[in-house]
Amino acid sequence: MATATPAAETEVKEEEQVVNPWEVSAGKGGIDYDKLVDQFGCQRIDAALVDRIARLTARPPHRFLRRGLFFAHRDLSEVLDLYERGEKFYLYTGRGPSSEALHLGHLIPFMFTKYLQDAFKVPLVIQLTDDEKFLWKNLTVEECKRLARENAKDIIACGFDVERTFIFSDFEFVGGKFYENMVKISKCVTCNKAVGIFGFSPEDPIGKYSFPPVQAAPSFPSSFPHLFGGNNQLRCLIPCAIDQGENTKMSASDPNSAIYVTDTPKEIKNKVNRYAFSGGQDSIELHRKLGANLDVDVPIKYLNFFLEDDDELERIKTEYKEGRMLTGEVKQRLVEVLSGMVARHQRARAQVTEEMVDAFMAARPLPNMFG
Amino acid sequence: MGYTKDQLLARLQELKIDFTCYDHPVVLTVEEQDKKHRLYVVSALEGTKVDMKNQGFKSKQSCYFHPLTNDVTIVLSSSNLDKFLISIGKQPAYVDLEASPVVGKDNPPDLAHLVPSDTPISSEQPVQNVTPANATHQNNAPKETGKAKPKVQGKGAGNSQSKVDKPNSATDVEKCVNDVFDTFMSRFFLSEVSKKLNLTTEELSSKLDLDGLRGLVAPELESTMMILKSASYTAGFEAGFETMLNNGLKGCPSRK
Repeated sequence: MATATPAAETEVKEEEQVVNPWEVSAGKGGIDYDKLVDQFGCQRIDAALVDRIARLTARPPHRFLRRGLFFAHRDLSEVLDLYERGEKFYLYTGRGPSSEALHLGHLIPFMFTKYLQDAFKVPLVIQLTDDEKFLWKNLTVEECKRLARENAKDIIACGFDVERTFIFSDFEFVGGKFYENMVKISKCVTCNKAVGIFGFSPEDPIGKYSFPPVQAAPSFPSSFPHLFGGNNQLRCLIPCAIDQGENTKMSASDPNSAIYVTDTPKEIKNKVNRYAFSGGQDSIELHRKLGANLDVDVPIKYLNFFLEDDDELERIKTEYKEGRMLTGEVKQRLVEVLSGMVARHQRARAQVTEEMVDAFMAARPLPNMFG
Repeated sequence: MGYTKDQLLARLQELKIDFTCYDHPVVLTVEEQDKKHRLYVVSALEGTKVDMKNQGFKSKQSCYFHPLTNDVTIVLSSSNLDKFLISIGKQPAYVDLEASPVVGKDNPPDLAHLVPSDTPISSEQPVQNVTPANATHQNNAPKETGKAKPKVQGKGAGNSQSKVDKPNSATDVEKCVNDVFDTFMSRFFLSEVSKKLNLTTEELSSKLDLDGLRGLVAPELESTMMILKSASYTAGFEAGFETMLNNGLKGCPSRK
């Protein structure tokens, strides 16, 4: 009875896609989003839902919704139902501040969250998990706290409304009711379950085991008595990303793989022209004849995320695919779009002071948070 | 638009709310009432202060109120009171005024979430009759009656405005961006440039894609304004903090 050869076993492993808190890797052919939706017990955000959001918020839906970039949800319909009845909810998102360098990929969930805040006119809590980074990375507590504050500045520069936004770092804020909720949550999850979800091993420090409740607690409004009183009925909507991979893998550790919010226009132009993988053909003649392969073209993917005008995007895609538009032209447009975005971010970021960070992070009342 | 006592009483009758009405000389404080009335006159300054009704009210048959004037008292049951409050779009909240919760850093006032977050539209002062004999008391006993009741947020359907609430517009960045763009575009840019180019404003605006322009300009304007708002808020926050730290409540001006 032959056992499977090691080669065969590895082959099987490579085909499976992996999505967990610390690793996202695609099987053959890229991330299977349908499988993902199933695996996480979510539903697709369909056109009807996007329309409904547009109607309820009396404004056009965000391009991430229009283009299916935010594509799955759990209980979003219920949240919309309660909102339609006149009830409120709050938003919760966060970041693990492991590096000072933020790239455009990091900004995407924050851009979408800002849209949700403006559209629904609801408050937002942003958790900076400096404790998580201390546990998982080789950093001191002081460094983690410092990175949290630095990241807070870039988050503020995304344009969140100070009257509706509370940013907090775990090291500064955990305690009181928040801590009570953490302990209550930790009583509900067995070690076995945690190991199953997070893949902990017996050699891992116990801090890692006890971290997940910290990230669950902000979903409960009673964790924030200064904002919501003892109200435990307020619902919470959590926008999040699955850390996009595919062949556009952006990594904070490879400076050329991503556009950073600190990049100059020259650096952006250089990165796009030299490192963005093109789906165009090798020669102009061939390109005019065959057109571009949009599936592997990185500039088109970036434009999908960052070019606002739907009509222009469609026109570029069509012209490029048919070979009438060249790679150079597509990249030029992308450089324009990204430079504009990054410049705007940098202008705002330059105005963020330590005092402004203090104000956003103060456990203060937000009387206008639903106004 | 203010309401008169007669309009209020007529409305109660419309809603088929039973009440008994007593005319009496003006009284300004509870102490001046007959001491055998065990319950409190409810007084709420519309919009600014919030007075919670005692939980003892909840099951009582006889609650006493001034119907927009202090020379009449009406008596009705708490369930009829609820009926009236709901009819004006306010969700009643019954709380225990005798409970004394600990209020501190982690425990804000436990009724804070019941306080309406928006400032209600102020109406005219309700009618107050003062007999000459009581004129001297007037300044010390501000018993203006009103009908403001706290709106319960979060749950409850007391809020008639559902989807798009009116925000506090002075701090509404989106509104400000649109105002600036419209003012700049229509009042200045279109009129001045069309003059220079010898076109009418209509001709010029039809040549420009104003909506497209708005789409380009708005994110930039919005980013700048949002940072200005945050910087202003921060300055105010600091100032308030320092005031309390150095001067306590004495440092804050009194509204009286």
